[in-house]
Amino acid sequence: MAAFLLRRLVRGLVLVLLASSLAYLLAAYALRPRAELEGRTPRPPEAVIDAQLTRHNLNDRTPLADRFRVWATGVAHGSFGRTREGEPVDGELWRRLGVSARLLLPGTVLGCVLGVLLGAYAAIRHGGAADHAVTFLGYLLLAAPVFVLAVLLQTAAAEANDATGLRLLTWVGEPPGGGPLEAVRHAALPTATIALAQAALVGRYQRALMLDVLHADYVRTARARGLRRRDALLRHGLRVALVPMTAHAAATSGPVLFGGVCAERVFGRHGLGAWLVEAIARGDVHVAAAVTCLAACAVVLTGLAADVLSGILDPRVRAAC
Amino acid sequence: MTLRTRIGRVTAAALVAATGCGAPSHGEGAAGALPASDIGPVPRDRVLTGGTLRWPLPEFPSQWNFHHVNGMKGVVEQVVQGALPFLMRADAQAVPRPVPEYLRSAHLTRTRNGQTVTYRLNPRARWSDGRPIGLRDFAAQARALSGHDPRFQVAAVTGYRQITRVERGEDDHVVKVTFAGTYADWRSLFSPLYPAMTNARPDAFDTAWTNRLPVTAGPFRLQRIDRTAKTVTMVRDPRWWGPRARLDRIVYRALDPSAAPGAFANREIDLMDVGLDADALRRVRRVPGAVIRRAGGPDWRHLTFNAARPALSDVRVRRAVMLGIDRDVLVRSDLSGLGVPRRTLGNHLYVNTQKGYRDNSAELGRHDPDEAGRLLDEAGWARHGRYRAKAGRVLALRFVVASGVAGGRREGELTRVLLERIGIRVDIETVPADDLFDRYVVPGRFDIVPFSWLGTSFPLSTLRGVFARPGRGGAGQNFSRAGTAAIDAAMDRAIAETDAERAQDLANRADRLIWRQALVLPLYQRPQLVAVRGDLANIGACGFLEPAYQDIGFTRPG
Repeated sequence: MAAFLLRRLVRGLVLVLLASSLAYLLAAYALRPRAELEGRTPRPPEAVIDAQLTRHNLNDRTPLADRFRVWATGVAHGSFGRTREGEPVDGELWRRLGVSARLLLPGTVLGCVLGVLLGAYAAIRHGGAADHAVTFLGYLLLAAPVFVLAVLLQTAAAEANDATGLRLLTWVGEPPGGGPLEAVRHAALPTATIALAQAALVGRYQRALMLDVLHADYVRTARARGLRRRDALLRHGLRVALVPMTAHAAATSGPVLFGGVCAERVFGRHGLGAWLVEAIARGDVHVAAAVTCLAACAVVLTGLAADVLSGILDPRVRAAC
Repeated sequence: MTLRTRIGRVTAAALVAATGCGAPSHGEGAAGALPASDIGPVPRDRVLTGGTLRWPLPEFPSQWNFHHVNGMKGVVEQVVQGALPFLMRADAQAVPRPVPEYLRSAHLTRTRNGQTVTYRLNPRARWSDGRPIGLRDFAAQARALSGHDPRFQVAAVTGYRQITRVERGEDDHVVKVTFAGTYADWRSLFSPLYPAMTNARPDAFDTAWTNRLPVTAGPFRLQRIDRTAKTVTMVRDPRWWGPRARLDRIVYRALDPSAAPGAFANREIDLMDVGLDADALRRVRRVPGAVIRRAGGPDWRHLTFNAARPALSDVRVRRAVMLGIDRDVLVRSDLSGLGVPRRTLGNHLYVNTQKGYRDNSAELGRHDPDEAGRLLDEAGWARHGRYRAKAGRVLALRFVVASGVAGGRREGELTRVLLERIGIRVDIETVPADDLFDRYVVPGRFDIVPFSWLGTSFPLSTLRGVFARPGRGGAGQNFSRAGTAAIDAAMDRAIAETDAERAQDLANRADRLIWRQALVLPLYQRPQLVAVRGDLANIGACGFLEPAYQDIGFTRPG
């Protein structure tokens, strides 16, 4: 198992290096920080524009190869360079990662658990009213963009707050200081939004996986050995159906990081997704490259975690290693 | 996209394109005019002491030196207006007035080859580090922003470049500033004024104001910048020598426009800029206790014609296009559902609520398809079926709009219908919003393009570059790529005139010349719509007015 993971890690590292370099080259080639500076009113003096671009290694009049060399040397020394405004990218990257994690993690975890349970439940009740209800809700949520869902929940919450006069739910910006109750009141709405969106996706997937294993031989064997239907389905059926789910969850970690853009914006958070979008609009090359690099790392690391998890869940994998 | 504040990028101006849509609501007439400003004025003694104002910012700056190339943004100005000296502040008609807490008076004397301004400062004016505000600060700022020392990464050198001497007057509180040549917009200078200690050296100019405000001199001082939550907390400064700030604290928070209506409805922010978003307006209008304040803003929307293109190089064709476009139709479409009067703009240099504004559109501002047809016949474009043609070429114009901007798209569709009636074909080309300026407008790949110019209280020096004849260094910001010596001379005369009334007359003379060239068709002054809590006083839709931050407050407890 250890050798297998090490091989995976090395491959992941190569992947991250390639993805980051490509992201930098693409950003440096396609984004135009000079145009952003020149387009301002009043237009800054030409010498200042050049000096700013050169100082931050963004000058399009320097050959791309030279810029890349400077950037890569920086990254090798643990620095992603500076933003267009001259701020170090690294500090902001960790701050924003914290913001994104605080916003997205609880909802994503909750959504995955909820999705697995609902999906499994719907599969077991295949064809029944419960299955139809879960399926209908799932499609409804999948059809509604996160943004629309968030706005609907916000409107409902604001009206509930007005009606009760209690101001129970808040959501704008980072959690305020104060007790755990305060934190829960502030996190409830964003967490619910993300959890619902995630649960709808995971639920559909899990339902299909569960249907596959329901009639598998080993479930029948378990029943034949005298296990109750519930135990057989949970200990043998669900466990096997979860294995592909771990791989799926790992593959979505990158999209979750970026897909948080809408949630970040509509709840007034300043996380990684919103930063990447702003950076591309502003021509901020180093930010775009750094966020892509981080996303690549996240995909590789969650992939590793998924490998370990599937090893634990699936005896066949353990035997193969 | 919503409205940005006065100073910003041209590209930003394009993105704030009108997005008002949906059915027009009842009870909004075309009659009447927008007020120059609507801030819910309440005398200071009826404003309560205390309370926190939660005010959203469109973005979160890291550079708080307004004069630095990375700091010259409306959001920086919005925050430092409560904390740094502004010698002059504009009133609702955009006339700059001395701020008595800093400036007793300022007088201009013409000299043989220039002008001298004598500033009499308030002797009580002090920085938070205890130093008096005076000569050293003026001298350091004039030198740093002059552009003579390239190590200072300045955003602009206009005005300061002409300063030759800064010296002491009859006492410590009098500063005399001498200019080479005349500079009519001298009232824009030293607002804001930064302390000598951060303007003296290029590295301090660069770094002293990143993520902090090291020294202040206003009714509020910085308490905390939270770079994770993107908030700036300002608190009342007890050392302030003017009237005490009514609010205990102002919390600024960077908030995406899409988050603002929800935050306002849940009372997590106290005011928000609605922009020209009719949907957001509908959402905030339902909030109990909310009030919408409306005023004419500094920005104006227009169509720029590219006179370097074959068809539009003929002034008769440009005039015909102007006459063929019914501006009322475009304005009605852009401003529907906002509850604002729809007035067209008849001036290229001043907006409707600004002092000096006159409607110079004359016959070119009207909708006159017959006259347009005559002009096109005269220019040799004869009708062949639906469209006119000359020497085998159909008269077709390329109307470029940014994608995702509903207002621009609708303006294009309406223009197409209107111009088809006089035999001109309009092809609408939708381009990525980020590419609009650097790939299309600047290189001149368009015939007609709609966008907004950001207005200021000092329009002449900024708009000089928009209407000046294209020189050797490219067209600059003159995107219509044409001009005349007469316009240049008239603009220069207006800019050099230090008497405000006479300068306005001269500017209007220049504007009439610009109208005659038919290069830019002004549509309307962009309204400002700001939703506020009903008990919030002395802030709202400011228009040109720069409010006194110490007077902002609530009139009811809670």
